[in-house]
Amino acid sequence: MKKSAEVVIIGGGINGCSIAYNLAKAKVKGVVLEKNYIASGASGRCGAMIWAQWYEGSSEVLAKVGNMTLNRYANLVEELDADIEYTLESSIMFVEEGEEEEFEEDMLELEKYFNVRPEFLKPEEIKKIAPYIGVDNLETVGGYLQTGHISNASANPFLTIHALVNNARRLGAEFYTNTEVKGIIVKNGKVEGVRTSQGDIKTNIVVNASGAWSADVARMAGIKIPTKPFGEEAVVTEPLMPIPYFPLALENYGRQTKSGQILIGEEPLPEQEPGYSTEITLDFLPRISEMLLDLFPTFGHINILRQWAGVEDVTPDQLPILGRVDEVEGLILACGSQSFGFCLSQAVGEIVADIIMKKDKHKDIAEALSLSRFEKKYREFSGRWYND
Amino acid sequence: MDNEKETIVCFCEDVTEDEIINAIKQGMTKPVDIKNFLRAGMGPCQGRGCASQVMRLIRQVTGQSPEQIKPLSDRPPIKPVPIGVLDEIKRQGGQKR
Repeated sequence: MKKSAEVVIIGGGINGCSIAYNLAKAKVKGVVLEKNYIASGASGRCGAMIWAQWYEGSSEVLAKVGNMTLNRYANLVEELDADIEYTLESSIMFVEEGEEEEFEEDMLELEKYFNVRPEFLKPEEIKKIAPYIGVDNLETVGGYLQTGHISNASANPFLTIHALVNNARRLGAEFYTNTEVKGIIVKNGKVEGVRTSQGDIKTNIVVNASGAWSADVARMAGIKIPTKPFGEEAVVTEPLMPIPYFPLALENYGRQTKSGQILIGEEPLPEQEPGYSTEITLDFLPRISEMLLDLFPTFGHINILRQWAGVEDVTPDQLPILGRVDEVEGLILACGSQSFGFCLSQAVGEIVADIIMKKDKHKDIAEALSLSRFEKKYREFSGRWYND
Repeated sequence: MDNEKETIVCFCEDVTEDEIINAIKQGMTKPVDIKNFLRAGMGPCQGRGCASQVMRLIRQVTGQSPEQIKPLSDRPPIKPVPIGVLDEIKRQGGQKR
């Protein structure tokens, strides 16, 4: 392995690979360290949705991040010269009775920040265009139809990461898999290197892009960050004929993959405890099957092929943590991506590369998403989020 | 026609021996890499048809011993199970968390 590097990136997931690629484009040669294999964490286990619906607590700054990632994805096939199965999705987001106002506000924000206004359809209209959806099971007043816009897209996560890795390699980045980081060497408040299972690397800049393991990695540099690992599960069915409109309701996310499989998962349960486990739980299969039958009443005979779990890193305000850390010079955070990691990764790559190169083009974003925001706003979280 | 190149290893996802050998040569030296990037083992049979062949090819190309090659993780429900059957379990009380 190399003895020294300009930048060492910890984590061979979509964020780490995107940062390595963006740095390599600017002729900064990074080294990516991955303890397992590329995309072995959340990146290889995600739903790979690219959508603007993560605008919880939306603001101008967050909309900028969202638009940056959506636009970068829209041009990624051309930029990386690779088929990443980038697809504009068509889905219907169902509105439950009593939630009309909340959704209306969300849609106004979607229009304001992302320049898209999904069409509202009444239940009867939805039944006509999508008779396979169990509209009567959903206690719905209708749904918003999103189609043909970059704010609702998807891609194949493996092909996307692979294309980023290939392009980054071509431009001089290096990737070491099966290489676990054992420690971060900090002297006099400055990063001096990284200790790995394959030997030490000297560097002045370390990027923590280790997803669910980000709090552990930060602790190696003596920094506490308020990220917690939370597991999520998903299933895929056997391949089906194309479904024109995918229903989003009942707290599910999902899409039909290019191969025709239905991929579906649910939002984390409120009572869930944090943990690193990627073990599946026994009751998820029956629970998701019930959900699938409510969404698609005629799918009883369709086979479920596979169930799996992944772990994502969650922050107190459900927003990522990007950028420098005041206490340790040379430590850069790129973590806390929640369940939007794949979606946000193209913006994260650009923003973090920008921060490393001290260009400060995205200073406002770096400020809004910095670790120091918690000191001011989230003292109340300290006990729950910073405990060891 | 070059028979070797056209030999299908994963019947569910139509992956040929040639594609797999190329991927291994590019550094995808684990069955899970081949599964993720070529989809060999992601189809209805979940790798029961191709997993051992993929491991054989990895062994041949890289010279690794069988013990060094980590097999694919088993993913429930192991065999394809219809949604309706699983829903029935749920409605009968099913598994408790």
